Amino acid sequence: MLLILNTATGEFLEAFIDKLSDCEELKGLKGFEFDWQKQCDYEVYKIALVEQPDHTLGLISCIDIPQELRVHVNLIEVNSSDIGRPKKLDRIAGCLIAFACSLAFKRRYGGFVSLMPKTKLIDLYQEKYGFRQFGRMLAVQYEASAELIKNYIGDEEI
Amino acid sequence: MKKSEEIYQKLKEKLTDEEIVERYVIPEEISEAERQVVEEEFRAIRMNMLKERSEQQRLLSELMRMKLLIRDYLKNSQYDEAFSFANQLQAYIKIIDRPKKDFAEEIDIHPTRLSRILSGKESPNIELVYRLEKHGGQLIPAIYWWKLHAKQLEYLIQKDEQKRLEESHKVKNHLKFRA
Repeated sequence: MLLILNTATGEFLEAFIDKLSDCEELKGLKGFEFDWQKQCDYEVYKIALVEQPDHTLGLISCIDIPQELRVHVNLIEVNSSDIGRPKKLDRIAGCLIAFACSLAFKRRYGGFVSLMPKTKLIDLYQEKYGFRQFGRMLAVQYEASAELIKNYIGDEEI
Repeated sequence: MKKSEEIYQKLKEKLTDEEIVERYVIPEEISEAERQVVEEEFRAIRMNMLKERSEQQRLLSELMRMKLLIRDYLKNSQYDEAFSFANQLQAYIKIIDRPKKDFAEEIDIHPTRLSRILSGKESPNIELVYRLEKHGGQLIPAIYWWKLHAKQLEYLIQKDEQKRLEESHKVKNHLKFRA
């Protein structure tokens, strides 16, 4: 079960992730800075709260690279209306990364997920999510990938 | 200025880098030529990793896959024979690559009982699912194993008309109500 933290109340809210199959759904999204229609060639998933299924909390764009047995996270963005300062909802990006890890296990890639974030943020992605650096890229796999799934998606709640 | 850099600079006016990392993965924008070099280098590293994959890593990968597929199945309302307790236990034994006799010994059950469970002639009990959880290094929780069995039972209770009829013949002096 995906759990998003409401930082104001300390309450965990149940969320779900759905694949967006129609590019039209990415048109004119409110609360997002990036042009998500440019991600149409890739796999795009949205995360939303079970109690508010029509409000997109965040989006992830993944590129499947089967010849290298990896899922590449191209872009993640959390809806700006849910990330005020102080932020209202926490763990959204973490849940999306953990979801990419689960895709990478299901596809027999050993949970291998790569990113090529802005260079100046590389250290922070390593600290926050346990990625390791390989040249300009970051990657997570095996135990570290399973740990992200455990931390953000959980084990027992099914 | 490139698009993602523009957005990053705009975000920097409101958020620290730590906060950006908690909300975004912003791709580094590089030229196509640079990208090809980065991708090529990374491909070589990745291929090397795959060549050096250990047995422990193979096991972890396969068991995590099994666990996530079971989780998806349990969320789905439809019963699927491929996910019967017996078939998943069979799949587990194949992943860990043990002779059935050795596996039976490792989880402290008689080989005949294991065979009966694998053929669906005998049901698992709570003790067994705890043992399976422990045997698999806690990767697949006992509750997953139990729910595979429970989902199968629910399906059978709803669909097994022959058994329902057989059992109804064994009941005497049953209560009667007008519907």
